[in-house]
Amino acid sequence: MIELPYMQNAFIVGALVSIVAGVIGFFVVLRGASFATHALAQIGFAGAAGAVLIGVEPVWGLLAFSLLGAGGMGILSARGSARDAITALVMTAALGTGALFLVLNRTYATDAFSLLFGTIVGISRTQVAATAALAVLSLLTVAAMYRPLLFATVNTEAAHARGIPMQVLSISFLACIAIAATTTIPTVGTLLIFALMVAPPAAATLLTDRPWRAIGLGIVLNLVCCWSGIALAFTTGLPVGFLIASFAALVYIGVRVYTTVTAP
Amino acid sequence: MTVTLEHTHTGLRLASLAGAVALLAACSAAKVDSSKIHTVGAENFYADVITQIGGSHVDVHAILTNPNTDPHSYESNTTDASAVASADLIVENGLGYDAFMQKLEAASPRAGRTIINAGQVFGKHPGDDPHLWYLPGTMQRIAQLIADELSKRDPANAKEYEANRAKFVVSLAPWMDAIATAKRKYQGTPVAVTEPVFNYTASALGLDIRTPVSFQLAVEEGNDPAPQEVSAVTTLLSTKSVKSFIYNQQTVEPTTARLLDLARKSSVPVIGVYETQPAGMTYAQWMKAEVDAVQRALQSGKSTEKLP
Amino acid sequence: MLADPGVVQALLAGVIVAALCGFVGVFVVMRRQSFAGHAITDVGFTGGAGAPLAGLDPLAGLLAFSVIGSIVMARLGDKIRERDVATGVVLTASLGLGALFLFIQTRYVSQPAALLFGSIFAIRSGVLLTTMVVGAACVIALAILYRPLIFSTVNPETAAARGVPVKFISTAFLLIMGVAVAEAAQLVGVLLTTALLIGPASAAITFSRRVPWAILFAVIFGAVQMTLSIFLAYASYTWPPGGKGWPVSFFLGVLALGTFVIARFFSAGDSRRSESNEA
Repeated sequence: MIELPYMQNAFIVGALVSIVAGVIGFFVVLRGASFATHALAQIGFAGAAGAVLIGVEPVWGLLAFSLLGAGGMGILSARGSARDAITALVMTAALGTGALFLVLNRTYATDAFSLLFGTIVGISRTQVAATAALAVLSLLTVAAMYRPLLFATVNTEAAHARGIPMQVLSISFLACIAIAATTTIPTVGTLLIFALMVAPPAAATLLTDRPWRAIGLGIVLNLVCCWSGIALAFTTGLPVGFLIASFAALVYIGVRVYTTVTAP
Repeated sequence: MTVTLEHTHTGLRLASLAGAVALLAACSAAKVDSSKIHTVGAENFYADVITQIGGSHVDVHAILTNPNTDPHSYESNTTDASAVASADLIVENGLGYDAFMQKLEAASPRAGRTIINAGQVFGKHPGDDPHLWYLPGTMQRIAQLIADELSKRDPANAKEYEANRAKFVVSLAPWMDAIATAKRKYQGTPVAVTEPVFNYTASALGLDIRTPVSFQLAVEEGNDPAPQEVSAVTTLLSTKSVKSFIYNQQTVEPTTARLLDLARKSSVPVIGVYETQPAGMTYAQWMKAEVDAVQRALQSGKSTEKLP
Repeated sequence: MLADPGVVQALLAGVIVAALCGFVGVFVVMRRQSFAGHAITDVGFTGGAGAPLAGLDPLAGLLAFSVIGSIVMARLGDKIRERDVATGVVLTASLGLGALFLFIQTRYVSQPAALLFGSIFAIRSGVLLTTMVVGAACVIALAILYRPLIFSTVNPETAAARGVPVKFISTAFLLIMGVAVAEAAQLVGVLLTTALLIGPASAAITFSRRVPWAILFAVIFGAVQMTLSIFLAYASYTWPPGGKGWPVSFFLGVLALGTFVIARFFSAGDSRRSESNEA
C-alpha cells in the first residue's frame, strides 16, 4: 500500500497533523478549550459560505471567520465566568450567519460544501507541501508563546500577578487553534483534526505531569491512532475518519481506566 | 457493485449489513485484472454507460451507487482512492457535484489518464444545476466520448465499442419518444418539486415548475426555507393547483416528508424520482420509467412513489 | 401573517422548545455544561442515523444514543476539570460512528437527513406532539430532582458531605438534559436548540442569582427571542434583495448572543466573580 502516492500523502499529512494537534492539543486540554476547538472548526463553514457569496476563494472565508470567532470568544470571555456559554453563543451566531449567506447566495454553493469534506485519502503533493509549511508555522507560533502560555495555563493567578497579558495570550491561543484547524480542514476534514486535538493529548496528560513529556506522548499517541487508522482503512475499506476517531476515543478511555485502576 | 437491502426483518438486515461490510473488505483486497481497461464512473449511471459500451474489455468501479442516499454527504474511502489511482478512464459529473473526485485524482497523479467531466463537456459553470444526467442528450454525447476513448486505447475492439455505442443510443429512443409525446400533451402543466434534481427533464417536458427556486435550494442544502415559500408550496398542494408533486425520494428530510403527507392527503399524484440509478435498471430504463411515471400522474392521476 | 398555519405552528413549536430549553438551560449554564448540551445533539443525531441501519425507529436510536452519551460523559467527567475533555471524547466517538453510519448508508441503506438548521416552518404535528410529551417528562423529572440538583450544583462538597448522592444527581441531570435537547433538536434543528439552551439562560443568570427567578427569566427571554426571530424571518421576505427569506437561525443566533452581551454589560458592576480566566 505504501507504493501508492495517495497513501504516501495520507501517511505524511497524518504525521504532520498528529504533531501539530499533539502540541496544540496539550494546551487545549489543560485550558479546557475542547469546546472552543470544536466551535472554531464549525464556524469556518459560515466563512466559506460568505466567501462564495462575495466571490472570494472559500478558504479565505474559512480562515477569516474562524479568526473572528476566536477574537469574539476571547474578548467576551475576558471577565472569567461563562466561558463555555460564550463559546456556544458565538458559534450559533456565526453558524446562523452562515445560513443567511447560503440564502443570499442562491446558486449551488457546492464549492463551500466540498471544502468542508476534506478527506485524507484525497491529498495532493501540493497540499502536502502546504500542510508542512503550515505545520511549521503553527509550531513556531506555539514555540514563541510557549513559556508565558504554559505559565498562564498552569498557574493563572501567579501569571496574572506577574503582569502577563492574559487576554492577549488567550486570544492568540484561540487564533492558533483557529488557524491550525481551518487550514487542515480542507485536506483532512473537521472530524480528524478535532479527534486528534482532544482525546490522545488528554490521555497523555493523564499519564505524566511534565509538560514536555505530555506533549511528546500526545504526539506519539496521535501518530499511533492516525497511522493505524489509515493502514486499517486500506485493508478493510472502512472510512478513515471512523477508524481514527474511534482509536482516539478508545485510547483516552483505555488510559482513564488504566490510571483509575492503578491509582493508589 | 450494488447491494441493496429490503426493508424487512431487523436480524436479516443486520446480517446482510455485516455481509456487505465483509464483501467490501474482500473487494478492496481483490487484485485488478491487468488485461482490461480500468475505468471509474463517479456515479453509477456513468458507470453503467461505460459498462454498456466497454462490455467485457473494461472493468468498471462505480463510486456513488446507492439510490437511497444523498451524494452531498459522501465521504471517500481507500477503495475509491485505489480505483481512481489505477484508472485509465474516469467519467465524472463535475460542477461540484462530485468534488471528491477531483481530490482523489489530485492525490494520485497518473500520466495518460483520461477524465471526462460532464460539466466541462457541456460548458457549464459552478453554480449551474449539476444534475446533468437528467438533461436529454447528455448521455449520447458522453457515450460518444467514452467510445472514442476506448477505441483509442484498444483499437482492436474499436468496432465493438462503436456498435455498443450505437446500441446504447438506440436504447434511449423510447425515452426520447416518451418525452416528445408527453411534451405535446402536457406542455405548460403546473407541477411542484422539492429539490432541483428532476428539473432538466421537467423543462424538457415543458412542465411549469411552480416551486420557487430558493425553496428548492433551501431543501437541497438543508437550510430553512422562508415561511412564505413553505406556505406557497403548501397552498399549491392543498388547493390542487399543481397536477403532480415530484420529490427526490433519496433525501426525505422533514420539509419533504410534510409536503409528501399533504400531497397524499390532497390526492395530488406524487412521483418519487431517484438521484442515482436504481438497482436492476439500465440508465435508459430508469429515465424512461420516470417519464412514464409523469405521464401516468398527469393522465390518470396515479402516484409512483418508488420505481418497481 | 398569523393566518399562515405554518407560522402559527412554528410559533407554537418555537415557544415550547424555548420554554423547555430555558428551564433545562439554567442548570446547564450553572453547571457549566454548555459543551455537553451542544454535543449531545450530535450524539443523538448519530443514533438517529444509525437506528435505521439496524431496522429500528430513528427516534429510538436518537433517545438511546443520547442516554448512552450522557452516561458516558457523566462517568468520564465527574470532576469539573475533566468535563470538557470527557465531552470532547464522547463527541469524537459519536462523530466517528456518524462517519461509519454515513459510509454504510451511502452504499447500502437510506437514512433520515441530519438537521443543522432545521425547518421550523415545516413541522409535522406528530413530531411536535412527541416533543411535548418527552419535554414534559423531562421537566417533571427535573422538578423532582430540583432541590438536591441545586444544592449539588452550587456547592458539591457540602452536598456530598450532607449525604446528597452527587454523582447520581449529575448523571441523572445529564441524562434528562440529553433526552430533552436531542428531542428538541429533532424538531427545530441543532442550531436553534443550542442557541435557546444557552443564550436565554446565561442572560437570565446575570439578572438573578435566585434559581426560580433565573428559570422564569430564561423561559421568557427564550420565548421572546424565538417569537421575534420568527416574526423577523417572516418580515425579511420583503427585505432587499427581495424574495429571500432570511433564516430564523440567523436572527435567533444574533439575538441570543446580543441579549447575553447586553445583560452582561448591565450587570458588569455587581458580578465581580473571581472565576479563573483561562483560554
